[in-house]
Amino acid sequence: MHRWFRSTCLLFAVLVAGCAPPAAQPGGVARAPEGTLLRKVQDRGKIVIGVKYDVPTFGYLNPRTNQLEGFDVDLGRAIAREVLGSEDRAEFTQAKSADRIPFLNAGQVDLILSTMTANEERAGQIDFTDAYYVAGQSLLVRNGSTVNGIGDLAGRTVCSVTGSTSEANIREKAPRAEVVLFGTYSECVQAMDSGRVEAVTTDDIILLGFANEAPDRYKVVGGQFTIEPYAGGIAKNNPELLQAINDALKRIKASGEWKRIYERNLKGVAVPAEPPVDWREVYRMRPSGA
Amino acid sequence: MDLGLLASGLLVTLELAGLSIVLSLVLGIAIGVMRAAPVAPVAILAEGYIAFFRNIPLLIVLFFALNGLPASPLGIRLSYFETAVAGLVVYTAAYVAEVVRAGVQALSRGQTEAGRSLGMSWLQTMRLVLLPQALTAIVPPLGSVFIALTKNTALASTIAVPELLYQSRIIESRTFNPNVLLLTGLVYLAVTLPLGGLVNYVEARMSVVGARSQGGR
Amino acid sequence: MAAEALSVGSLRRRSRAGLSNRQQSMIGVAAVLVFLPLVFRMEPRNFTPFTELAIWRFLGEGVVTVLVVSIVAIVASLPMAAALALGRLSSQRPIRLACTAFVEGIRALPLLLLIFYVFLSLPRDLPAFLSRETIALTAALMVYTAAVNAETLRAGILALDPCQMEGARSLGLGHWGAMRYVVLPQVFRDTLPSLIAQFTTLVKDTSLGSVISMVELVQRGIIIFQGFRNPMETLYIVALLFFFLNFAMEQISISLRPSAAER
Repeated sequence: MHRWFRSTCLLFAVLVAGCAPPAAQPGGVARAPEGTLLRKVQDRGKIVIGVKYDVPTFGYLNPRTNQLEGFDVDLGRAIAREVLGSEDRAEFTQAKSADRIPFLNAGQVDLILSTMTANEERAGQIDFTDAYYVAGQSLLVRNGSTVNGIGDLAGRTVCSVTGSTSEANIREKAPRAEVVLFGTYSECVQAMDSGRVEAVTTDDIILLGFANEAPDRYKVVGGQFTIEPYAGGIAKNNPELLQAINDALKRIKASGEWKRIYERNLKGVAVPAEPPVDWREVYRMRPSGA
Repeated sequence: MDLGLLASGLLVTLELAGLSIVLSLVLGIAIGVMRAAPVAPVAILAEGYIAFFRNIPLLIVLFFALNGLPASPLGIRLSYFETAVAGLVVYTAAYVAEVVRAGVQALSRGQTEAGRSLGMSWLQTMRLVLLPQALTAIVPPLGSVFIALTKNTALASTIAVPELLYQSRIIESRTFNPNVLLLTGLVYLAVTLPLGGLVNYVEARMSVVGARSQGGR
Repeated sequence: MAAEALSVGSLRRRSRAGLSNRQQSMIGVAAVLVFLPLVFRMEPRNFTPFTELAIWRFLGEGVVTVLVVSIVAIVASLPMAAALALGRLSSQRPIRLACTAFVEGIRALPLLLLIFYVFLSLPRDLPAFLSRETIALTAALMVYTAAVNAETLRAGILALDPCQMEGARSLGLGHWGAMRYVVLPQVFRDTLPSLIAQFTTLVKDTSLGSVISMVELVQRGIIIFQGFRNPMETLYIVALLFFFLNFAMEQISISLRPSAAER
């Protein structure tokens, strides 16, 4: 509904302005040649960005404020400012995991910033921008636990969620650990409270949520033992747009804005010294299992 | 295009539909009989079940099963397939129960009284006198409910059950060709249209007065 | 989800307990609503977000979306339904066959498949003031409802006394004039309860919009429980909203029923 409302307002604004096409944007990148996607975006004066609406900290439509927020959303606004001259030129639409690649290929969105892990399989279908965040799996233990990393898990019980990638990963990385499965991570944490399991494993950002809620009880240990570089996605064969977005990301990282976005959305997480750049490089620099 | 994927999806859809039809028939008849029971609290609870589940979307029932069954005191842990069956059965049983109730109530009160006067208990009367008569009369409307159930199995794709629609979406996302869904549609038609024809045939054979009006098709 | 509009029927019958069916139904639903939180161990503190006005405003926008999409779909479906019903009764064999195939085909397909297909095959550039999801969902629901209502209207036309048509023709109206001014208005009136029952189905089916990324009522529920980590409690509230929406529709449908019978 709020999209309807916003777009209706937009329509009115356009009508009031005498149906004038959006003027050339000050501050944006130079006009691209006719027929390119970048030119289309520039003519439209809007970059349509697919984000999650239901993933707090990355892309979330806050029900209290009815506003989108999160790392991906903040980054999308910054990219719109760099490419088109104003943060208001970012138009967001919901892109669930299964819809991300189809949306790009159908031309429904120009850019995907939707907690998407860059990997070779997907790189065959779409193009990835530079990485902007590195997610990884970690361990949550009780304070005072002797578990300090996946090397300590042999013969101990670790909890994960049925059918998750975390489950598959922990079986591979710590084959001698006993894996206990529950329906949700909250149940895993309850099981740890009652001493039935010694550690809980999934993406570090979820674990940090639990640790931040009760720092006197839990801590996150062992660093990231899987690596999932998040990168933006765009449809293949649009080198101009890809270049413009990568340039924008470089400026956002160099100016310190990336660090501010990181701090604002991932409270309590240490900002990495260096922002990630090439997603393939991320895999090479930190080989999984390290 | 990977026809093997579609075939495996069709198999899952048929399993899902078959299992859900059998289980929802059992649960639905039980609730329908409870609805007609002479014990007020039982009848009222059954009525509440029917009214509630017929008025909420199946999608919510599926999400409820997905999130709720593991968290309940019973701690039921089901696969996605089993979760989908549970959701479909709970939802469809309300429609089956409504059909059964209507079928039993359409019989004259004299039937019950005759059964009771022969010394049968209420349950015996229901089982031996009322249900056998009602069941023949409700076959056509039940058929409609089960065709709807078969179509509803497509919603299982939203909770990661690899059925027909799920597999065709996978093919679609690889080929970027929405016309895959047309082919999938033909497969669904090949399943549901014969079912519908069968229902019409049975209906015409039995030509039970009033059954059509309850079919709601 | 599909056309399962079973008759509400027999509302005036009274049970031995002396309660009307409607009262029994209300008490029963209340019992189920008490029962569910106990079975699924819902926690009172997980309901605290629903003490905030902002959360209800957020859900309220979803309710408005559901109603607007349902109303637009059912109103837009009626002309198409009438055309399909007349087509199935046409004396022209090709028209009759085409309309029959369309109606039976659409009704035999899963609605979700239809929604996906419309969504994925929409043209790339659409007017910007409506989201693609909204257009796709409304269009798919409209076509589907038209196919279902075509059957209702066809049954209504067949059930209407043939004298109506003959009378109108003898007054000098042509076949189409008689249809337009005499037959169809009566058929619409007679089938109104069924059409409204279909509206209930439609309200439930809008939930499928969440599958194509539309931010309707169910999707709003998902957003809330992802943020507050209270899936069961939120789904319970959303189910309640759907129930009361449909309950209200059913009451309207019942209140219209006698007027149709009294003609």
